[in-house]
Amino acid sequence: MVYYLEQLSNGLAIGSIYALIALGYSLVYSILNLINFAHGYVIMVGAFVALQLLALGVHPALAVLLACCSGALIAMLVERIAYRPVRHANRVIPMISALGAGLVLSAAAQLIWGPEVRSFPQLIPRFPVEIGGINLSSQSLVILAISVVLVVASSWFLHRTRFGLAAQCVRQDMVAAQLMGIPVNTVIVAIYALGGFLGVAGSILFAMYFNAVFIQMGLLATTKAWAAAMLGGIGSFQGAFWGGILLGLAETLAVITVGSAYRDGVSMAIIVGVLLLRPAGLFGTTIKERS
Amino acid sequence: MTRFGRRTLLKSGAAAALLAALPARVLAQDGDIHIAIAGPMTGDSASMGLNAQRGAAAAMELINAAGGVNGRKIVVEFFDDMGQPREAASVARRIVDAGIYAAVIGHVNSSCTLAAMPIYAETGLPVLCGSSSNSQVTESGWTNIIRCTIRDDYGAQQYSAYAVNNLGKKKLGILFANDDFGRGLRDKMMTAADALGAEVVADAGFTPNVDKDFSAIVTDFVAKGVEVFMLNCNYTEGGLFLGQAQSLGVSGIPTVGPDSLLYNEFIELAQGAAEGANVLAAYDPYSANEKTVAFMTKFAADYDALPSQVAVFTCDLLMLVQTLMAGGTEAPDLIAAAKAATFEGVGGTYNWNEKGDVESRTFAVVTVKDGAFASTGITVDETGLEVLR
Repeated sequence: MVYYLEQLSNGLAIGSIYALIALGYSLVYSILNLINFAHGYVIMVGAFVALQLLALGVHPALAVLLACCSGALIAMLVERIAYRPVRHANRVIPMISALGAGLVLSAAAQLIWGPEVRSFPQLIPRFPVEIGGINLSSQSLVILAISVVLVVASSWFLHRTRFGLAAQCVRQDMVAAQLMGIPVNTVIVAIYALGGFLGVAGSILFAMYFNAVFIQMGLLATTKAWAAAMLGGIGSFQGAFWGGILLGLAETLAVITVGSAYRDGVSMAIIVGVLLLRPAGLFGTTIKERS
Repeated sequence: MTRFGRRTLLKSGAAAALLAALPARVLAQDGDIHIAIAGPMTGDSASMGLNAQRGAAAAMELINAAGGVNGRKIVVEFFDDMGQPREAASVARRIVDAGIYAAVIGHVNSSCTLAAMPIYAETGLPVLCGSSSNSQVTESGWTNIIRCTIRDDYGAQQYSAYAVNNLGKKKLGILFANDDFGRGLRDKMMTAADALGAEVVADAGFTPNVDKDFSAIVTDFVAKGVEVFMLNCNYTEGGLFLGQAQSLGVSGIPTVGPDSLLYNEFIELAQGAAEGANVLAAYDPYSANEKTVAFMTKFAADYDALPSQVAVFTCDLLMLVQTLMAGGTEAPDLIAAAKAATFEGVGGTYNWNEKGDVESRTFAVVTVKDGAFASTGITVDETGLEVLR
């Protein structure tokens, strides 16, 4: 029994990290209906920036803040260079150009920081915490809490603020929103920036939890978080959260039952199964488009 | 006004291409010795390629200081196989077709060496391989290859023997990379454990360069009563595994692993949990050998890093080429000459047998002490392995 409880806590820990990164995808998708494949790479660069600043002796809180801002800045650049020029093209094209931007970021990061895996300073102390007989890592509890707060904050931001309402108008009809006086370009840039900012916050926690920063982090974040976002219902913040948690649990379940070698296979099969039954994901709503 | 026809353009283009190609040939005839170094310069195993470059740089410094090969310069060029067999084959084709290379040093990943060898074998180009440990590399009948590292089938027995005989543990838990190489190694370790009267009670595969979460595996290993962690992986996975085990409250289980753990990052990533780990290295980086000490000191000063096996073997192989050619060996005879020679390098003494494998080399046991690697001087107790030979 203790064994299963411990595995459950392992699943929750990894799941909350997936959730945090999936949030960034959902943010952009909820407004633009665009899968921002550059997101994983943007946040990887952000994590390296944080590491660099810390190595230069910048105060940890300031370093994290600046790294998040750098994430926002890079995301804005990606929007300007790889997304805006093709915004009105076929939907596949911005997806490809975003992926291209991601590869450029990944190559640039390797040139600057090299291909090695770097260790990341433990800004949040890490020790085993015993709750009801099972061991949890102090960090995973903090990460879980931060994920919940960010999910709630993002939902509030998008549904309760003037900016959020403007963003929703942009989603419903870009041209009409523009005609109504909503600064569409500003809204889109801001959404990207916010996605980058939160994403880097997530990637720093990710780096701290695994004690590793590495170039392939971009691809890892892309595949896992994207799968989590799909599972939960892409575009829904609640969905991103639960999708992440469920993916983490599914992976742990796979390790327990058929062995770690089949972890990704089993967890992806679960996602395919869910999507067959609920194509919009667990929390997704299908929005009917005007013909 | 004269108009250039398409034909004229083509002709002048062809002439220009010929001219551009000429200097390389002329230079080669001039007496420079061109060596191709092939390995993963980019991609998931790019850090190994980086080590190959650093090892080569160290060797080149020594070679240049010695005036090259009897006044002839050695020129190295790097080829990127990205760690992918497909790329390795195309790199091999480019190297062979160029026709100017005296020898190839590489590749690094066994899968790449295996993919490239048939192409090098066509012309018998000497291949000096450092770190490809797959037994097939020297068991496929190629006569134009030698390698420095210890074969994986022999290595797997040593890992198990160390855990069972030296550490006295009977329940092994194996972490392995879920690819041909990792699974093959696990199977060989299991066979060896059986022969030694021990048991592999748990094994877990991971996807190299993708999986970073080992907490579920740690919990599983502990639940199954594993007494020793056999970490068949790179320093990243090894360090993460131990770090995560520690934060789950697991302690007191010894670790045995290969020299792919021999990076400072392993100790950093493990956050203190690497203390006392047993690393079985194909060369002893802390031996008192004069060459080794000089190399290690210089490498640490230049790059603030430990040289990996790839760096050491790349350096040694370049030095081997210089030594043999300075002694009058012609490029095509390099492999035969190497097999007949005894070579003292940074990585110790090398003797190659007819197949191209190193003979009478054993693992050096390196441990982590007070947050740094240290030589133990222990040798692996091979009692009970005779039945497998």
